[in-house]
Amino acid sequence: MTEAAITGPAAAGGPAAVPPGAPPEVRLTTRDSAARVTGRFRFAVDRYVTGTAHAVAVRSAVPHGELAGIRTSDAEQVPGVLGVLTGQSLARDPSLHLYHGESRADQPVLAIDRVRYVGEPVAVVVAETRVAAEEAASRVVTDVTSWPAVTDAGEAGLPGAPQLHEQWPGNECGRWTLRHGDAERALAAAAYRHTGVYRSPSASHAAMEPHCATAAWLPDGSVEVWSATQSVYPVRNRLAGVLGLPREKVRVRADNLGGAFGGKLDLRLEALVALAARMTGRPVRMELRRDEVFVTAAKHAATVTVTTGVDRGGLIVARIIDIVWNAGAYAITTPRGSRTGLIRSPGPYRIPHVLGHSVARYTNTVPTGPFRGAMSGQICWAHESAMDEVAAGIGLDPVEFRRRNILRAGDVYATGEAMADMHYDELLAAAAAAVGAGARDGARPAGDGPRPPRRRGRGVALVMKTTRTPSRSEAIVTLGADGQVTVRASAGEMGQGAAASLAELAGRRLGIEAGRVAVSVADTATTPFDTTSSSSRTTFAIGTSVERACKDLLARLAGIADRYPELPPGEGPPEPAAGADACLAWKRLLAAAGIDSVSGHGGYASPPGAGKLDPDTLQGAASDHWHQGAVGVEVEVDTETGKVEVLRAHGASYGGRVVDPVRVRKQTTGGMVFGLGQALMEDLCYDAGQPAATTLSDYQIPSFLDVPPVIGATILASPDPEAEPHGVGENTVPPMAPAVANAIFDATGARVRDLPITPERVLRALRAGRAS
Amino acid sequence: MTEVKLRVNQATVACDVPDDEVLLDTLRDRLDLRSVRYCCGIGVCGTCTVQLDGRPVSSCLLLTVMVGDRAVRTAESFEAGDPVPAAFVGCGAYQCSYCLPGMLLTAEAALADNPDMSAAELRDVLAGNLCRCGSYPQVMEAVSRLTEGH
Repeated sequence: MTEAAITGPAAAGGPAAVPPGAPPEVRLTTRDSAARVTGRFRFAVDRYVTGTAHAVAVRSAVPHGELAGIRTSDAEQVPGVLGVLTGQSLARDPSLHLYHGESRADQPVLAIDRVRYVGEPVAVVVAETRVAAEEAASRVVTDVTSWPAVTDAGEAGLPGAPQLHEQWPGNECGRWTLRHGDAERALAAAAYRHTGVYRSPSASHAAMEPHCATAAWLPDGSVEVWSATQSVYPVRNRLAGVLGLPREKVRVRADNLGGAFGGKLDLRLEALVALAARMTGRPVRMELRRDEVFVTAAKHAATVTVTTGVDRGGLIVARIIDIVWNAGAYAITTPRGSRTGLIRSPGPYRIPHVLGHSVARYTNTVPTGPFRGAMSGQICWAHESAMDEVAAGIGLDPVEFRRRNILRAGDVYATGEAMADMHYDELLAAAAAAVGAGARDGARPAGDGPRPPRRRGRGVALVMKTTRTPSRSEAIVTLGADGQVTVRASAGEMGQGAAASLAELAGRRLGIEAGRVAVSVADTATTPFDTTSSSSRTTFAIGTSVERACKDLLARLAGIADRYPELPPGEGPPEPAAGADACLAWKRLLAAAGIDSVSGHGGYASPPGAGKLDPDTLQGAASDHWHQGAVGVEVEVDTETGKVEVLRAHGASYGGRVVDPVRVRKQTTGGMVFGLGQALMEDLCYDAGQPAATTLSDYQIPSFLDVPPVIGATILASPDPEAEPHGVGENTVPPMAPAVANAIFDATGARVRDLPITPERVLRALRAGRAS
Repeated sequence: MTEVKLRVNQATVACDVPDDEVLLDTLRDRLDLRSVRYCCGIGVCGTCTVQLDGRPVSSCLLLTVMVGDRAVRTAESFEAGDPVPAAFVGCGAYQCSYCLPGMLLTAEAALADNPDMSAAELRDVLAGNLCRCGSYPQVMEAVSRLTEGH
């Protein structure tokens, strides 16, 4: 195991020349930097199709109610309006399946007879210009009879609570149990017991680029959609279902995204533009305004109760976890995602007895989706806050308490599986040492201490994440007669550098520079299947597929060379790593053989049985591999104002076979900055059913001035050239908030259990601490 | 509709714009300058920043008819080797890069105004440019490189 502590400036990577004759629909990773700094790099919002009309959604202003009628006549009088789409008009078309969803078809494309959250689309106005569409949308009149609404998932489970979906009584949206050993009995026998309740609110992904999509129907009755989506195949499959079309009649193409973070998955706008385009016979485009982005996808709010039992040696003997997720108005990924969250909820610890219950409930709030670190931010906030509370309760240093309990190779996790490739010793040590946390990790940082009323403290937190299991990816690597190598795969490029990583992996296997490898954008008509560009699986699953496709390509080239022994020596396919001449040699080979192009195919699929867990206990092989991260912070707390400043933050992440340490470092520091938002400021709260923060003024995300003055990263890399690459885009997001809360406790003795950690909450916790 | 003559990136272009159209929409949709990007719509995120006579402004808040003869500059005017873009590239100071043109134009305007600016001053100037990917640590490296010796 090598530890590469990368603290200096990123390696210089100046813009490189664009190879001549590059196909228009491929990105050459080497040309990105020049295009990006001159603003010429194209994003999904830059996609315009000739003849496009513009769509604007009319949205519910009421959190819950009966949609008795919609009057569109005034809107239709606005010059330039081409038509108004309503759920009731669509419901008359028997070829459509308006209700859709990953596991429950509970969400209508447009509200049909009732509305379930503020912001739900009830009509779509299409006009020649966006301005005309906005004007007309303001003239659509909806007749809604308001019903009682519920926005809290706890209240949604009470008798007499408003019911969102008749077919799912009690607002239930997925219920799971994790059972390993006998936690209740072990807890009863424990020397020390602790229970804490930890709440986290909904939050907005707040990608800088808004959601957008364009659809156009072709004369053969097929439809093409360009979408700002992370994953084209799930969108295609769901859209085909809604439209009642065979999947091959639906083509979904992605573009580069200006951030996504889980907010651009599943159907969001695609069905709206497809149906609007069908109505008008024109290509139709929809691009959201920021307030609409806030009501289009959100993080699950959650309340997590953790009870921990510890023996006299400081070893955890039992943990009982109870999770209540707020699913929002429709299920989307919640039934599956809440299971994922429950599986991760014990934390990366060796606990012989675990009992977990998870229930998700519908509420009259924005539909949810995975949020960078999907379903982990909520449970990590709980298990890592609880770790420090327990450590304080038994008089152990929090780093030492973790050290005694972390999972190591061979230990059994709460899913009953023996763990391998565990790196928490190194990750914990790196995060703790960098901020001076932990009794045995060296002296605390020297220098002037703060003056009262300011106090400093240090905290750490760990996270362990499953990756989507089972899942599948495919890739095709093609060598053209012109010597151009192109990777085709359905990876979403959203700022994480997927294209650059795939080009690098291909270049290494083929022995050519990554700059000579083009990577296509995801397109269901031209790029092969991929389960999803999320769950930190792209570099691993698609990357593995690309490597296998390269191996296949080299074997095919060798086969061609064998059939053309008359080729002069040195003009056959080169050995791997033969350098820049490889493309030239291949070009000659193809010319001699009279072949236009050769393609290698490769794929990745989870091992048989992976992810198939016992439905009653969730015992089994839960993940293809485990994402491992740690964060350490030092904070300064003003005990008079409650203001918290993070002075240092250090993220440690296991990267497996690291493809590009510079980009891993950017994901690691960027993840902490992202997580700082949920830690200190972000709260997508509701007031009488109305979302109370729908601008980037009311909903604050971290700015330059919030970034810790000292921020660093430790990347653990496997030296094994055949080791699996691990995704690292999420590993430092969930631990940020509990690390900050633990540091505040270290500084002041005040424990905050509700996110975000606002000054008011810190002051209240300080007062509660003094009172006790 | 009002006919305006805009001086953009050292070219003068004439176009008809509605009186209530903001510069962001004119630059993107009429002049095809796609580096100017929408994000918040209320002038708090810095994404749509352009330079107006060398000063950074939020183009989502400025009516096109009010631009007058002031010179508009967008990121399309940059060469990749210019000092500010080169520093950002050299430090890997972006991830998705959607916010990048606004960052570059803000930094370039500040440094043109005060070439002796310190790193801390330049960081404060950039506080109005949000980056959700969290590239700030790498931007800070670029800022240090651009203000070396000050």
